[in-house]
Amino acid sequence: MRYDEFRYLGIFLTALMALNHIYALPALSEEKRVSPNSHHFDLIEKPLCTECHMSDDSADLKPISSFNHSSDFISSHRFYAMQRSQICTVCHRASFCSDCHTNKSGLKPSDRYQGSPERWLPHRGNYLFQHRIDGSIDPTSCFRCHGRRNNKLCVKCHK
Amino acid sequence: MIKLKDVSQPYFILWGSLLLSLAISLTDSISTAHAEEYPAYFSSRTYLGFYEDMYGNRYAPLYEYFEVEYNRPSNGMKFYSAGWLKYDFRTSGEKRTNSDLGLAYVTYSPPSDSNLVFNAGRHYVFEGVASEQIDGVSARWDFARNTGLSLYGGIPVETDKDGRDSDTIYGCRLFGRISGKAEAGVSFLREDNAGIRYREEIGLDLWAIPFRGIEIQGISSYNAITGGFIEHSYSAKAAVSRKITLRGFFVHSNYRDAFSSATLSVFSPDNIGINGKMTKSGISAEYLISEGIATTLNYTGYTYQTSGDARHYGARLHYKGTDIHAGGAFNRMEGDTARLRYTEMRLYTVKRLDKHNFSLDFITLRYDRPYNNMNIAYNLNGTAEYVINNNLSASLSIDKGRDPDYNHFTKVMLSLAYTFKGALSVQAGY
Repeated sequence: MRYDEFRYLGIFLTALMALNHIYALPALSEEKRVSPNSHHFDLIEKPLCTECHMSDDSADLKPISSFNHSSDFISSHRFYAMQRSQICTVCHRASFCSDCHTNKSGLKPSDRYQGSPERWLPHRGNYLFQHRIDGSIDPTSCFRCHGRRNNKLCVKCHK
Repeated sequence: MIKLKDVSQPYFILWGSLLLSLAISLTDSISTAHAEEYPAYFSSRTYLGFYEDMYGNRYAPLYEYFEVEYNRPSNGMKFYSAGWLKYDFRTSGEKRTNSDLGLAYVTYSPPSDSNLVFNAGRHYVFEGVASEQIDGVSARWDFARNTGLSLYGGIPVETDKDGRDSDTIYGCRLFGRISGKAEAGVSFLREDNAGIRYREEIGLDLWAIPFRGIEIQGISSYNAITGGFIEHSYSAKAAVSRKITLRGFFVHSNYRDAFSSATLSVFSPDNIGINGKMTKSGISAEYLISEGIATTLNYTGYTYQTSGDARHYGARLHYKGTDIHAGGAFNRMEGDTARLRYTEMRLYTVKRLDKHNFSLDFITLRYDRPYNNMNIAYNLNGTAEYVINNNLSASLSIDKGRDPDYNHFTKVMLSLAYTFKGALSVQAGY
C-alpha cells in the first residue's frame, strides 16, 4: 500500500468516525464514569464501569477470569495501552509501566521483583549472553524499549 | 559514535514546577475552613546488590526507588512522581552515582467533565504510534459521543545525542468507537532533533469485537521520512469455550523504516542490514484445566529477508492458588542457522505465608552449538521475604548460575520496601 492510499484510508476512517458520531445508535449507550469517591473500594483512577461490571447500570461483577490477564497478555498489552491507557490505570499505577518502560534503567525489572517469578518479567537471570541471540531473532522487540532510550548500558559494548 | 549527556537541568525545572503546583494545591486546601482528607500514597524500595562482572570488577550498588502520589478528588487534581537514585559503593574508575526521574506530573480532570483529562510534566503518552515519555503537556478529550481526540507536545525524554536544544515532539490521535464493539484511531507523531525532522510517523490502530468471543486488534505504522511502513502488527483472539482461548498474530517489519531513528549503533543499517525484513506469525492456545491451572501451547514462525527462517514452539503450565504460584515452560527454537537452535526450560514456585514469602526460579538453556566450550547455561534464583508489618518488608535474594560468558556467577541482593497508603488530613481555620 502506497502513502497516498494510506492517506485516503485515514480520511475514510475519519469520515466513518464522524458518521458514527452523527448516527450513533441509541442502544449503544455512552460509557459512564463515576467518581472514585463514590465507589465502595479505593480506585486509583476514574474507571469505565464496563471494565468490571456486566453493564453500566448493573452492580453485577464480571467473572474473575475477566480480570486475569491470560499468558499472552504481555505480548499484546501494547494494543490496549495505545487505545485506552486509562483502563490500565484503574488497577495499575503509572510506575507499573516504568518498571520496564523507562528512559534510564536502574535495576532490571526481573531484579527488582525477584520474589515474583510468576510475573514472567523479561531478561530474568544473567541475560547478557542470551541477548545476542534474541536480538538476532527479533530486533524490533529490542528496539521498542532500547532503540531510542534505556540504552546507556548497551553503549558500553555497542559503541 | 553516540555521545551521551546527562540532562539534569530539566529535572530542576520539572521538580520546581511540579512541587510548586503541589504546594499551591496544598496551600489552597489549607485556606479552606473545613477539614478534608486527600488520598495519598508513598512507597520506597531500597536495594543493595553485590556482584562481579566478567572482568573481575566488583560492584555494590545501592538503589532507592520512590513513588509519591497525592490526590485532590474535589477539584480533580492529582500529583504523581516516581524515580530512582543510585550510589555504587564498590565501583572504581566508573561513575558511582546515577538517577532518573521517571515520572513527575500533574493530572487535572475537571469535575464537570470527566471525559477531559490534562497532564503536565514528565509523563507517558500512549496514543497510537506514540509510546513516549515526554516533558510536556498532553490532553485527552472524548468531545462527543464515541469520538475523541488526544493531543500532546513537549520535549522527548530519550537518550540524548547532542543536547536538548530545539528537540521537540508533538502529535495527536483521533479516535472513534462503537461502544463495547470497536475502536479505530488515526495517529500522527513528529519529533525534531536540534530543529531537524527526526521522526514522522502515521498510524492506524484498530480494536474490534466483531462477534461474541472474538477480539481483533492491531496497528499499521508508516514512516513518512523513509517512505515505508514500519510495521503491520495484528492479532486475533477467540474464546472457543469457557476453557479454551486461541490467539493468532501477524507482524511484518521493515528494518530500514523501523530503525531509521535509533540512538543505538547496533540498530544502524551497517549492523542490522538495511534491506532486512521480518515476518513473524504464530498461534497460541490456552486451556484452563481447572480453576487456577492453565496450560498454553504456542508456535511462532520467523521469516527473514536476508537470513534463514526459524520456528519457536513449546508449552507453558501455571498454577495459581491462594498462597502458592507454580509453573514451568519448555520451548524449542529451531532455526536454519546453528546459532538459532536451542532448548529452553523454566520452573518456578512461590509460597506466600503470613509473615514469610519464598520463591525459587530455575531457568536453563541448552545450545545445540557450544559457545566458549559450553552448551548448557542456567540461572537459579532463591528469594526469601520477611513481612515486618503492613508497611515494611525485607528480603534477601541470591542468584547462582553460569553461561558462555561466565563459568560461574553469584549475585546477592538485599532489599527493604516501605509503603504508606492513607490520607493527608488537612485541618485549617480561617
